[in-house]
Amino acid sequence: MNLIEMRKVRKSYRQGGFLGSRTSVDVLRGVDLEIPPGRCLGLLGTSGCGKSTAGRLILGLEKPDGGGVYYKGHNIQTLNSEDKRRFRRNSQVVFQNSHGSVNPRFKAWTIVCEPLTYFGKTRKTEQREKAAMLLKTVGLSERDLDKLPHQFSGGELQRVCIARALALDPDFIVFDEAVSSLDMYNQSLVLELLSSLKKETGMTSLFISHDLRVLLKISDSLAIMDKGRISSLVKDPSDLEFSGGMFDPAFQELARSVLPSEPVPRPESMRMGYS
Amino acid sequence: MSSALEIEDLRIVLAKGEVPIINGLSFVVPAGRTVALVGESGSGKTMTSMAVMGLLPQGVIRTGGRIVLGGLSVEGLSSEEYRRLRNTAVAMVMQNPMSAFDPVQNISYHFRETLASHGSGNKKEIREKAIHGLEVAGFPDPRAILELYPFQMSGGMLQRVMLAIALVSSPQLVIADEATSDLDVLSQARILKLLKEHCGQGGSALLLITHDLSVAASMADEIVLIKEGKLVEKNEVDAFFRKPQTHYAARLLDLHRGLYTRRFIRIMNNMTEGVSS
Repeated sequence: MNLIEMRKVRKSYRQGGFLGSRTSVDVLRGVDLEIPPGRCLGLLGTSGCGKSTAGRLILGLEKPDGGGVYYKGHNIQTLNSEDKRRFRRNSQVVFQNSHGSVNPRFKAWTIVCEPLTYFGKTRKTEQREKAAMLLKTVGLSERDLDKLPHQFSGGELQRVCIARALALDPDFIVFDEAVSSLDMYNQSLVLELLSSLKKETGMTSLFISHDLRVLLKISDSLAIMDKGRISSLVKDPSDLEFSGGMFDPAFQELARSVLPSEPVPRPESMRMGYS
Repeated sequence: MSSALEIEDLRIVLAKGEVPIINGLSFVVPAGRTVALVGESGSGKTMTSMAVMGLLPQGVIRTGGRIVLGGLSVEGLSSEEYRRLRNTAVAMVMQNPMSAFDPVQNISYHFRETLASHGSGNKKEIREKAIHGLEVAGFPDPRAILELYPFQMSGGMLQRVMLAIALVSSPQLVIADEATSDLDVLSQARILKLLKEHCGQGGSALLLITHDLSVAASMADEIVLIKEGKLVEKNEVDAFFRKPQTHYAARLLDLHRGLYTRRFIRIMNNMTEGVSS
């Protein structure tokens, strides 16, 4: 059974002022996604295709206008309050902007333990110990416990956010462009960390990105989103040519826009630039 | 050969405690060429460009070195003279387009503001230049764009507008500071194509500030790699990628190439074969 899935999910937003004509924009037009336990689904798409909205809906942060999100086979909209709490506890998120997703006045250990404060009854001393452990898991050290967000680099603070997401041992984590604003160096380190966490903890995740390179590094299967629909689904990215993804224009455009890794040879006359 | 920008032994410190940010950095951007200034975040790339523009933030001080912009030393310029030099010799495209525009003014105002400071022409002339600039930047209906406000446009569109504004005065040097880092791959490819069409090869020289070696690989003629405010390695782009001279450069190249997994390369190969067959 899938740990989490979206069935025919629709969502539209209203645009325009309070008065006068409001136009409604369809952001998701019937999205189906399935994530089996222990797997990472990559969601690939351009800016504005609806991928972040899909992420918010799968976390239950917004209500769908049609269709539903199913956690262990149950629609999350109709869960009773206890089960809803369990779902919330078990689904975590890491956003792109790490500085925007932490309280600038909190020390690292408080940030990491925020979920424990809301969901557990752990005492302060236990929390500090747990935080130290979590920071080690993400490659930081005990010395970082009392640092404030501005004392971390972007890559380090993103690790703090990952530690926070792991604090409650969740079933399921959404990474929404979680490495996109990191520099190349930190991006590689965080991706390495996530791969090893996936192996160790067997976590299930939805990884949202516009960068095919990143998704092919981390995800087991791939969904390509285009204008609010899943335009193709690739169960095994190694078999892309057999599963139809190759012929999806949305996929092709995103793949071709990735820059090459090496300098492209140019004729000598153009190389010099001046004559 | 003339150069668009010369930096010699640049030194910048954080005033509080005199923490060095840039520690004796020298490099040249020759006229009409593209130089990529590459480094991790926090290595001092942006501070270097701010120093060139004479726009270092408060509490950050340049303590030494020489900056020559378009053949003119910036030493001893009054702020008014510096402003004029900045206007004629250099234009800048920044990382975050949303905060680079005035939210209560439309696009046409931003063109007027820039062109007026260049002292060019009357209202009609400015409008024509703006329309032409937007056309060049790939907008099919530039007149409609002039009336829009920043919040009505996407990040990628705004970045193209910023580029259009930067290019409209044909500066000797364009500085693009992580100009595509916040954009998705489609918008990035578009912006880089525009930059390539208008810079290098006899056009404006381009100082490309980036952490992304794939951007540097596809754009630059030369690479200047810095770490903690110091030069690590300086080389022609091919040589840099083929035969890095330092351990640090080799490590960065390894991490960079690690993003191009076997899965990815196979897909790309299959796609090109699909086209050719």
